[in-house]
Amino acid sequence: METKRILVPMRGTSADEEAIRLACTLAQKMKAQVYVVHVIEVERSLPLDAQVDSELEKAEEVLTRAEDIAADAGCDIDTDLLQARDAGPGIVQEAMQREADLIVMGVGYKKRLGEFDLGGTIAHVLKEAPCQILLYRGAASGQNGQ
Amino acid sequence: MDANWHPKLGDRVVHRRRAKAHPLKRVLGVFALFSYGYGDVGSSIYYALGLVALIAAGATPVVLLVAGIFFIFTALSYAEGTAMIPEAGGSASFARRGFNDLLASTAGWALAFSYIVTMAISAYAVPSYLGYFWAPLKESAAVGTLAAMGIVFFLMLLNVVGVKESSILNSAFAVLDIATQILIIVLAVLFIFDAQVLFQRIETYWPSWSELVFGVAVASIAYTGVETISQLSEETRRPTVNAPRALVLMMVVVLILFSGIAVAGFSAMTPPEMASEWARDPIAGIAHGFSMRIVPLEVAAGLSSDPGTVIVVAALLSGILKSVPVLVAVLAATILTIATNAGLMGISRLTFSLGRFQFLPLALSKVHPRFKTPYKAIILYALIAILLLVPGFFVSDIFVRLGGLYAFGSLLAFALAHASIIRLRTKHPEMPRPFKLKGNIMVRGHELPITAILGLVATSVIWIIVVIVQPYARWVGFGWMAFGTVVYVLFRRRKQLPLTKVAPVVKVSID
Repeated sequence: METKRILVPMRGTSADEEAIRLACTLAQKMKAQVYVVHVIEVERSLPLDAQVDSELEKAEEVLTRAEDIAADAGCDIDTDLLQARDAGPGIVQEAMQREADLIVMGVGYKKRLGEFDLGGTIAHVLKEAPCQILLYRGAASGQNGQ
Repeated sequence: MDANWHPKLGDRVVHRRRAKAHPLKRVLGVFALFSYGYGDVGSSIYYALGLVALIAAGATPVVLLVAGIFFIFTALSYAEGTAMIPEAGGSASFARRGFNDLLASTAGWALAFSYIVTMAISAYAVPSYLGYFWAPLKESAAVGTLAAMGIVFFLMLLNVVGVKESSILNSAFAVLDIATQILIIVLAVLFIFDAQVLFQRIETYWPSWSELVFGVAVASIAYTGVETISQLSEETRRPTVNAPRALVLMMVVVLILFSGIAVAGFSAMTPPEMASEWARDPIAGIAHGFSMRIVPLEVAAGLSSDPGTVIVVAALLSGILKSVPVLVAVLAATILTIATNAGLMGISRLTFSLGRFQFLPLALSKVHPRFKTPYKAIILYALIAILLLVPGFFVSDIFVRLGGLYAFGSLLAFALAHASIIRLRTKHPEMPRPFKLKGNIMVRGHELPITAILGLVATSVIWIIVVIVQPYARWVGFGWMAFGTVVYVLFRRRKQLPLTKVAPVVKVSID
């Protein structure tokens, strides 16, 4: 299947950074465009478009870091900042609107009650996104609870 | 790509293209919007029937019907207003465009008051339903009031910390709620409905005129939800089309369910029974009435002469009758708690909108450095709701008093909404009206909507009567409005803004 658009949701973890490198490598081989998005989750006690500068600053840092990683890899990326009630539906909708062929996501090695836990956002995207998904999980050693 | 994919509840996204503001992306559809509105109305069915019966006695079904007609007028005015001005703020937004900031602030503070009172009433009804499992929650005023306060306090803490609201769980409860109500209506119609008995009960327990009018005023509590839909119009896809559709859909569903539940209630018990023992938990009363009036073996014997079939049908019916009270207790307590929570979140959002209109300090919506929630607004409104519950320790008619307070706030806000829709027809006839009310009369070259005029007259007259006959609602309500006006005037003076002109909307960080 031809891959022209790759979406990378980014929270700022080390696994996300590896996911961007992976997406850049794939994009260069497939001549695809990489879109990196960061989702700010807004509490329901606030309107969706409420402006919280500390969150925006944090998001800017995350996306700037994504641009730096892509530049190091020699890849040109587009970045976008979203505000949503939940990150999962926000990512799925973004993938739909950008007509992404592939979503590349990084996943940490997180345990809950002694069991490996994917987290709600990734589980939602895996279940709802209509396109292909590539998950990158870093090495488990030395990452307990990371 | 899957062409059938549609955003679900909670799938709302705003784009912020790297450090510059971007318009809001609207993705809520008709059903998502309806579900949010129904979440509010659906919860009120669990206490409104008993509250209205306390005041209007035998006339309860009639009163609900009359209030339902006024609700149609209100929903229609909101449909025109929301389609024309798709922004959060409801009647305050309409009044801001139609009149000026002073009247809009009045509408906003009235609306905020009705939100707080709805929180208090919803929380107050929860312990009664849980009384099925532990009787003191229903029988002791002190225990019940304390439990209601505890619920509000707990939700306050939860909202300050910030919790993820599961939209799937909410939708599931809405579906379960509608299914339970349909089950109750079907059981009532099949096994205990008797038109003669129903009319006899209405006639025997007909109230006085003042009780009848106050009943209509309080019955408007059964039809909350129009504001919720209006408030979420900013997050709605094609709001000019979807918001009116959601309002009309909610209007139809609610009227059908309320009519059915009112008939079921008066078939299951007499008005004095509903107004005394089951005032706070009328749906539990209906479920209890079923177990008293329906004898499974008799019903089964009437359906079949085959002994085997009779035993199976009787066992099945007996199982349903035993499970309905448990289902009602758990479901009502959960839905009312969710409604209390929705009220707290709704008023926090409304505060933000009023702050942006410069009606009150936006600092009230300042977010917590760690939790990123508007903790000041949440704590303030939760404490006011708890304060409104204090009389529960001392007086037996707190339920009626809270109903009066709700009527005061909501009717004032609704009257201003109707007035604004009429005023906008003369002030801004050129504004696009994607949903324009039909049935207009020509006055000095302007088309004025009859339903808005009738709605304005009805809500104003009933509001005035509430003010005259309900001293508690009068003094607490006017006290709240006076406080709001003082805050507005002081804030505007400090900002050197005019009191009656429309100030620009501010968009600043609430960090």
